[in-house]
Amino acid sequence: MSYIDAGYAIALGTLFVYAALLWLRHWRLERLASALYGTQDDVPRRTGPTGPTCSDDPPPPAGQRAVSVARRPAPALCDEWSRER
Amino acid sequence: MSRGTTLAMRALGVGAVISVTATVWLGLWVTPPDETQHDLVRLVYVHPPVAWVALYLAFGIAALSSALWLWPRTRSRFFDRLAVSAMEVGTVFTVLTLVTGSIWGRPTWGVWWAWDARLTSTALLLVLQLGYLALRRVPGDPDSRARRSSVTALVAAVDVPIVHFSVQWWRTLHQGATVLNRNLSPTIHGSMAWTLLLGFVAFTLVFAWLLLARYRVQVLSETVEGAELQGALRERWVEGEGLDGAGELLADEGFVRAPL
Repeated sequence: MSYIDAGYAIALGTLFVYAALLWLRHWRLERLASALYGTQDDVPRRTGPTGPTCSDDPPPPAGQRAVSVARRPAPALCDEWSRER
Repeated sequence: MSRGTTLAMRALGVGAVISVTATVWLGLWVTPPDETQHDLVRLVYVHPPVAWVALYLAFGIAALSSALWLWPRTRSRFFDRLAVSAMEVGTVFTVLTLVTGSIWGRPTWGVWWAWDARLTSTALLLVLQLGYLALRRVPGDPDSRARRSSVTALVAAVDVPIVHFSVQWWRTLHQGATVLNRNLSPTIHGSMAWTLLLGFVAFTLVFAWLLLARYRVQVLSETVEGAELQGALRERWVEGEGLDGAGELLADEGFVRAPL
């Protein structure tokens, strides 16, 4: 292989491999996001501290504010609250 | 991913494949050999386009996006994502610039590497880009990370004009600018000039496609990161580890703690 062929092969091959790696990363992140959020439709459109919450969250007692640290209780708590109603 | 983005990626992908194929065909088989460089001139259809993308396009986008993020009126997560995407893709092109240049230099100068001004400043650029990418991996909240990265990108951008003007400021092995020279009169003619121009277009399209793909990965990565953080907080809250004292404080302040 001549220097010229090697140059073309390395340049194009590297770009192709990088494109393939990007596709692979995207695919793995999509799977991870689906596992974390459930379905593709549940993936939030914005990133940030907010996230999905239990449906019909019980309101905090009067005079008290809900904690803002964990917006979503553990799934077990959602089940417990839904049983209490 | 939106329909528009999908269509854009497909169009860019098709355009990139066609233009790269045409560049390779013209560069390897159609254009004549150079009078002095002979067949080695065929690497010129790859090396300068790749260098153009690395030095001007990718770094330019990264630096501009970083500046726009730092400016409070234009601060947006979009610019931070664009900056890191452009910097990562640009790093790949910088590596290719050095590699293809080295392959060209071996038969021309007799050495794989020389501490020439152009080569050294380009190598410094690569080190700065790798430093930026390493800094992105330092844990921290998104705003701090973006701020650190933006400042780093702007500091690193100082090297770009040094690379460009290095062949004028110092006596170098590397040849002067073929297209963007002082007289703005390209010293390359005929089919070689058209093939070189096509090479610039081809690798620009390749860069655009890779940038879009990398941006999509960045968006997903931040989404997953946010979900993992929520999950970790949720677990800690349920376990009550290290939050007992804080829980009492929050209760005193009128906050409710989730029942265990």
